[in-house]
Amino acid sequence: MLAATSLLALVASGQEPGTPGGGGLALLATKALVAELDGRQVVDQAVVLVAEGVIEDVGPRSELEIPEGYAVHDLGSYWIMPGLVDLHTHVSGSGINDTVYQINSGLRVAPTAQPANPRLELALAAGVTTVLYIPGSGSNMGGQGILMKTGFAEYERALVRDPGSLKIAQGDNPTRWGYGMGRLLMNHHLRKVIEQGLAYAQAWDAFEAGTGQKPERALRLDIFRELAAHRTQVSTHTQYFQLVMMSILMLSRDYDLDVYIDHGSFDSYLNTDIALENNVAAILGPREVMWPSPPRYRTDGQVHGSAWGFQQQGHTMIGFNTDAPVVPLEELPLQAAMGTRYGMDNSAMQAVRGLTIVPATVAGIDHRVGSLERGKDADLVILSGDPADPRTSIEQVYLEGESVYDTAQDRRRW
Amino acid sequence: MHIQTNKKTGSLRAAALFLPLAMGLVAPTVAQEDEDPADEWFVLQGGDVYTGTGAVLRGASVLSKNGKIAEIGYDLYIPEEAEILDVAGYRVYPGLVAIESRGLFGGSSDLANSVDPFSKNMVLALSAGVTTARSGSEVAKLRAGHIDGLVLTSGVLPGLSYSKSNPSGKRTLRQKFEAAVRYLEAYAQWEIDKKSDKDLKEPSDKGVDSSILRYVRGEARPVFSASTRTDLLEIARLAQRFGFRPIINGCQEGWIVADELGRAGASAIITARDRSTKSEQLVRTGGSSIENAAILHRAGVSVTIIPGSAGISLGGIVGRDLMHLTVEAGFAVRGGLSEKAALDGITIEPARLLGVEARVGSIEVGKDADMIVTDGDILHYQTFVQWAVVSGEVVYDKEAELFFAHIRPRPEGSLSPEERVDAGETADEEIEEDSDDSDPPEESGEEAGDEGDGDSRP
Amino acid sequence: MLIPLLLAWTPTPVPQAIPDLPDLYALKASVLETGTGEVIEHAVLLVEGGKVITVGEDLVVERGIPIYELEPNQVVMPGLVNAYTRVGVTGSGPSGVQPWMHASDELYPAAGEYAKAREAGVTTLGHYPSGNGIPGRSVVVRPKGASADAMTLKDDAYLKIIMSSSKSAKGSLSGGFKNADSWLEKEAKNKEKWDKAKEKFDEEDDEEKKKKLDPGPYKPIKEDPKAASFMELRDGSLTALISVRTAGDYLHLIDAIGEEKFSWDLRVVMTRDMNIYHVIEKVADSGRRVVLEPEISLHPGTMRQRNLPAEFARAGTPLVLVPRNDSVSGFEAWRRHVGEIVASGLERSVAIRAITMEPAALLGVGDRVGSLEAGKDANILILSGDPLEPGTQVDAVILEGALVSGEVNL
Repeated sequence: MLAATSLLALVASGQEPGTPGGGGLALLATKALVAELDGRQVVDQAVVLVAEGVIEDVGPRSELEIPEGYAVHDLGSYWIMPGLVDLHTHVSGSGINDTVYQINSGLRVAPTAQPANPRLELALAAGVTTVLYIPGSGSNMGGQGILMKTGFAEYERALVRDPGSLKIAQGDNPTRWGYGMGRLLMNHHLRKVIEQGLAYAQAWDAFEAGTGQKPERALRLDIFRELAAHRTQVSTHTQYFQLVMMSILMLSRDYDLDVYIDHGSFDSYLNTDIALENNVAAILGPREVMWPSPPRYRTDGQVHGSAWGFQQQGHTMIGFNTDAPVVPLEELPLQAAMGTRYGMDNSAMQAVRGLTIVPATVAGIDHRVGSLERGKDADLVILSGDPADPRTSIEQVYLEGESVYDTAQDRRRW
Repeated sequence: MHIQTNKKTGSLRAAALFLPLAMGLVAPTVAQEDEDPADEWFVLQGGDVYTGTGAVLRGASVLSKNGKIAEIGYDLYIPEEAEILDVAGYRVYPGLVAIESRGLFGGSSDLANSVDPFSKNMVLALSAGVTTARSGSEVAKLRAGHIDGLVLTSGVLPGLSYSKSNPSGKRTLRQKFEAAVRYLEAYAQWEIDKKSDKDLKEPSDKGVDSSILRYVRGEARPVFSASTRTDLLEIARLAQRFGFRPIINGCQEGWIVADELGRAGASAIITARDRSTKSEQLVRTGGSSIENAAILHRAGVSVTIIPGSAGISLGGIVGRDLMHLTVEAGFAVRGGLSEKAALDGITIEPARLLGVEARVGSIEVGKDADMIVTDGDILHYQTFVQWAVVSGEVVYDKEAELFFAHIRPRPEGSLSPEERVDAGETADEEIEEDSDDSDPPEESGEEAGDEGDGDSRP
Repeated sequence: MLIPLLLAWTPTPVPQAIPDLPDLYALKASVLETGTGEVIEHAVLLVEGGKVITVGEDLVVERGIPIYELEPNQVVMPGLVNAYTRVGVTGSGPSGVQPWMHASDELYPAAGEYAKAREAGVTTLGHYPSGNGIPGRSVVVRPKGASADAMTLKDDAYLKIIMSSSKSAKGSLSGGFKNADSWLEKEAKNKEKWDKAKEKFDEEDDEEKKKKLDPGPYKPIKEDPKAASFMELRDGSLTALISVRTAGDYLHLIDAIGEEKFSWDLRVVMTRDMNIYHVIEKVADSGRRVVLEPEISLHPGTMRQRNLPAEFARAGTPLVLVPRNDSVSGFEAWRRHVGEIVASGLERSVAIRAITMEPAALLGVGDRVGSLEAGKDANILILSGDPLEPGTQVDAVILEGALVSGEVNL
């Protein structure tokens, strides 16, 4: 097997080292931002070993030996970090929203995906390598999103997971659907369909366990089999305190679905306690600042960062999203920068983790992306410094060991 | 608190300051002048002064007299009644200049009579370091709490339209320029000829557009809003043909025709993050580029930076409005612009375009004492303006306003090194100016450091 | 049809005509607020011919003078003075500069609101003219009388000026004075011309020629009511009450006034989160009165309460408090609202003064009303208790010596 691989590498000239079929690759960097969830954060004078499209090892040059035959790229003073993950985007295809019905649990964005479109190319140049492409927020339950990589042109290769999430919008947008559509009816709808869906999933489970009859197939409820089995999550368009409260209480506490606050905004941090109780992560952006506007939104004259608020009350699973195209995908790192500017403590690399391992973990794809850990996809970003700093330039991006963007060859896109 | 008057602190400080004077070590330039008791003195003491002229004076002081900078340096003579703000450990920069702004002054036009000097937006703009801004055709200082001494000039940035979408307008404009040039030529000839023929009639300027005449004479610079390569090229040619220096607002495809714009002596007002995609019908390069500012600057085009939104946005999306002018400058750095040029792009360059560079835009003796004091590198996203000084008076204090006082509260006394915002930066990591920088440092000496600090990158 | 109705009609008591008080009488009260900030216990107040003759502690009253001994709980204070109201007047005015206009032209003596005002204890009202800009002069009235003349205490009280941060508002004020200057200049030239002509005439000896040169009696140039008003401001015969909303407006006002010297007071239009606090010290230094509503406002962007009347008073500004709502019910709630801001920090004596003596002084009738002092109009309120306590009722109102509401017993 080994011999065959080497032979192939010789034959297929031009095969990149580190990619499947290529030889190993060793990247030497001044700093490697490992970004583990609860572990190693930074390795100075690091080497990252890549083979077969995955990360083989990461460690200090003084400790880690580079296997023979590996192509060695010395990145000089550059840093290396895992590709960024954005869990709230609408720009990976043409399916922004279908608002004929409020509840569209059966709709899938997958058929509308346009891999490697110009917006994704820009995102890639900003180091964003994995995105959750979801329906818009114009209907209560928008449908099923997909998790995909930004830099691959073939859909099959770009796809990370379908369904990537069930998109639920609890913001004000679905109230535009028509007369009489308010929070009451929206939440009633949601409960009704979730209960139907969970019963449907149970019926299938029973059937598969041989204890029940075969249920009739319902396309619009299939997603609940995935949710019930915790193979996918609910991503919520939710923003203010009240909406986020309902997202947590209804979806997590009442129905035990895997849910994360997506598009968390403004004073959503007032829910930190129940978010912690229900193990719900806070993915924030792009409206991540609460301006003083009493009497309803009381900050005592202060400008409150949503990330600051969650962190103040002890939350650690804080991530960032863009809601592209509301804010361009390439400004994902800026969301973390602004979270930091407006009060989030960044002394333990919270900004970096909020762009990588936190969103990867809450989307259940941390076995593949989100940190520089052994066995994960070699989605690597080579950059000139602090990833949150707008001044930092991104020089090269690897996707599964393959160099997909390189300013040494391509025009700098971002 | 930090602000104290010399009087209250007793004689010790005064004695210490007089000592070198008595020993004849310091030339007492200010002391020699007659002191008027009505004079207002203000000192920013002991900060790292980034003058904006290329020099950095570490631990230096800036003395302001009646709102103007009287002296910059070390061991300054400080009058008894001076108000002193101890900024040791902090950085001092020139106040930022916004080439465009909306809603900062309360009033919309005739600012001297309509400004709201207590408006929330003025405080917020000051918190972002902006001390001078254009509003409509007026340029005014953000002198919070005052309605006098505000307006620096008016009638700035006259706009001209020249776009491929309006061919007849283009023709009319060209004809106006031709008429102006013909008139100037005739006038020059008349000046020669009248020496021999005293009765020769002076050529008439009837029908000559007076503002166009000013552009051709170099007395004013017209502003074009243009972004496509075609329009930019035509403006560059028009400028070279008629001998004026255009200011181009937008300039998104400027990077493609940077050399032409450089030769035309153009200045560009750009948003580093501007996005426009290339038309798919075009084969050639097109669209926006993050490198726009850097490429234009290298080609000799002076670059002024403004964010996409020139107002104060309270909608919760942060990082894209005038409150984040430095963030926009940061994106220009991302595209390769030097940090010095990026800072110039939000200080002295806009001041020049607005014709107020003699008053604001850098920290120099004789200029207005408009400065900001920060807890770190002004281009770093985490840096906060701690104090803003306009006309030698503190008009913004982060801790005195409610907005941001709770975010990384300022420690009492001087800032210790670990409290500064200097991500990835230490003093000895500072690098030399980019060689492409067209503005060589004007001051040098032992104290003069380098302003182009930040992340060192190959 | 009428008969059964009439039969069914049960007579409701017809309001008793308010009995007249004698010309000369004394009031004895356990507590009397003079309106100047002073409180007299065991007070005796002597009234004759509608005026206060004397007031003091435990004064001996001559035999034969009727004495009205009040209940121990009752408190006497001067009638309330509302310096800024349009309750009772009608009309609407344009905006512009017309300082020669009079709010007295808008009076409606029969208005039912005046009776209500009396019952609420308001015995003096300063009516401002309707309109924006500089719409005219206010009139001071007593809420009683069948004609404008019978009501009017003083016409040509303060000139109402609305100031804002705008060129037009500032120009209305500064331009008014400039206009007066140019009128004076023209008039001086006119006089000079006449003087010269007169001189020539006087010097001429030839009778025939002299006839031709006769300039006649001096005729000044046409009067300009606008210029005249601003000259009145300058010479002190007219004062101004200038309204602002924001701290910025105040700075623009000072800018518009420039070097001009005239007597003016300030009215601050209250909003929920106003920023006038920025200039409280400046206003105090100017020594002007400030007209405000007894209201707690909020510090901008917060729920932090600010008692701006108290802040102004603490800085040394003479305070005039007017009802929160310019309506009869506003009048009725007025004392209670003043009590609220006293409870949250305004000094009590300042508060009493701010609804009696200070507004009287602002209106230029401080020599007649606003306090219970010898020689002043006997405008007296008899209250069921502390004037600033929520439950306190107006038991009786005496206007210029005569009972106009409620009753007093011998």
